[in-house]
Amino acid sequence: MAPDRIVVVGHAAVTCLGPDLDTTWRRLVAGESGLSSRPDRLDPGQYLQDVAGLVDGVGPGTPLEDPAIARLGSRFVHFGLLAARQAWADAGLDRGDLGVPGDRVAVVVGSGLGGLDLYHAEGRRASSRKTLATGPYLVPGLIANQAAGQVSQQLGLHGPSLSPANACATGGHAIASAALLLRAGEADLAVCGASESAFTPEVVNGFVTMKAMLARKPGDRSAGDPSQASRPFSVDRAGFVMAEGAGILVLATESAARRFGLTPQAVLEGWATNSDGFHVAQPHPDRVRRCLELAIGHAGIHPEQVDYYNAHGTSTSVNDRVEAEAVKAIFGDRARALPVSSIKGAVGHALGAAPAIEAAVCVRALREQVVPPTINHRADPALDLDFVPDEARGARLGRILSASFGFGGTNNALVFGRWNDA
Amino acid sequence: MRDPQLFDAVCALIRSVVKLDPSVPIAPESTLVDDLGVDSLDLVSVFLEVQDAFGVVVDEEDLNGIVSVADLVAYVEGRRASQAA
Repeated sequence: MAPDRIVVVGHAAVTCLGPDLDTTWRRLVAGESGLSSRPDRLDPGQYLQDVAGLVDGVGPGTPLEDPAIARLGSRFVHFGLLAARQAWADAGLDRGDLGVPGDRVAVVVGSGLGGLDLYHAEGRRASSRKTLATGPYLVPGLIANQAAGQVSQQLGLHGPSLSPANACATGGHAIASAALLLRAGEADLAVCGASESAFTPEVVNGFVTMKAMLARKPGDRSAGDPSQASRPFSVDRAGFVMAEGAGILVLATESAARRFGLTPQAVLEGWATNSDGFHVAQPHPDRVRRCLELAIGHAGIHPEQVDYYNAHGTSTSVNDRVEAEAVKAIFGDRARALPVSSIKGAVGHALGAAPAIEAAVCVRALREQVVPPTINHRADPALDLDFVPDEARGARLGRILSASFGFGGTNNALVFGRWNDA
Repeated sequence: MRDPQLFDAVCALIRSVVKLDPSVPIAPESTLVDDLGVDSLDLVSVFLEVQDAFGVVVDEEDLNGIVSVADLVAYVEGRRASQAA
């Protein structure tokens, strides 16, 4: 008997384009950017870069702050819970009368860096104090599993709880880990994804110093127009632009979805994770390619059956080149006809949350049959693929391959298929 | 209550820490834990806020004796006096 399929029954994202996926998707396919220069939040006297993808209007200290977690001042916890509440509602599970037992729902919500914003703020505050005391909500808000903890607590979910921390592949690992729990029978449903907000001078300046992040530079095309800062696969790409946000999927086994009357939106057909074992930050071309192959193999399909490749596409010189070469190696003669795009041009790079945001976007793309564009694109002759430049494109999408790669050499790829009840 | 301004300031700190609904009144005899829903972590937060706002050093050994808002205000008054001396 074929194993129970894993289906997506809810999806949501909180991004710099909007505090929900509907807004994010609408602006994404319109070719808009969520990036801006924000000296109000990122003081140029402290930050080497003030262009960023910030989420405004929700989170701690705002009028729309979630009162259930008001004491936890770290932004990633708020974004994670907000996206989880939205995905839960998107699945229709907020009705509460579907009979889903809380102890059969897993929560796998990770974060690359956790509550470093709170750590930084509390450290500054404590340094001026006459005693060595630190706020009692520092550690609860700092720990990287607190977004998962609050999703469990506020939604009443008591199955397994895991919080992957796999750098910029975190959200993908969370979704794959959730699928493994479902497949192993440890849970019927899983709330999975990742959340991130790590804007501190140390983190931003560290990324700039290691030349991963776009530096503030007078001659750069972002100097007059911050929306052009992130330009994946472009000839003049010069580093990623940091963002914050969260992406959450609700997964279910197909049989559980039927049992509880949940409507499948897409199928998680395959997933893969592997490790470079190579370098602290640089990707390894062979292992990246291998990860994509593993995911395609795990889905039981051939590369020709992939209709769109949703790229990691950070807008860094090395990553984009390595990734484009991996796509060419796998898709061969067909590579140039395959739509390849990175939404990071529009939403920046939300680090660990990025793969989960992209997963939610892929689910929406399957539903809408639209490929979101790579904005700010200026062709690089060395990367001759179809990057869906600047304008969204209608397409017949049966399957999407989405990949993410993280510092520490950790890779992830997911295959989403269109839901077909036949 | 010798200093009504201090009472008001302490009340504002408590409201801020525990996100107290504005409709909930705070009286001098209101107890922190039972009346205002200040849990053990909140209690530490309140004392840190007091320490930061009034420049007094709060001795953790003294905290057990503080039950009501009036107790806390009196404690701050006492610490200010002794630490200013």
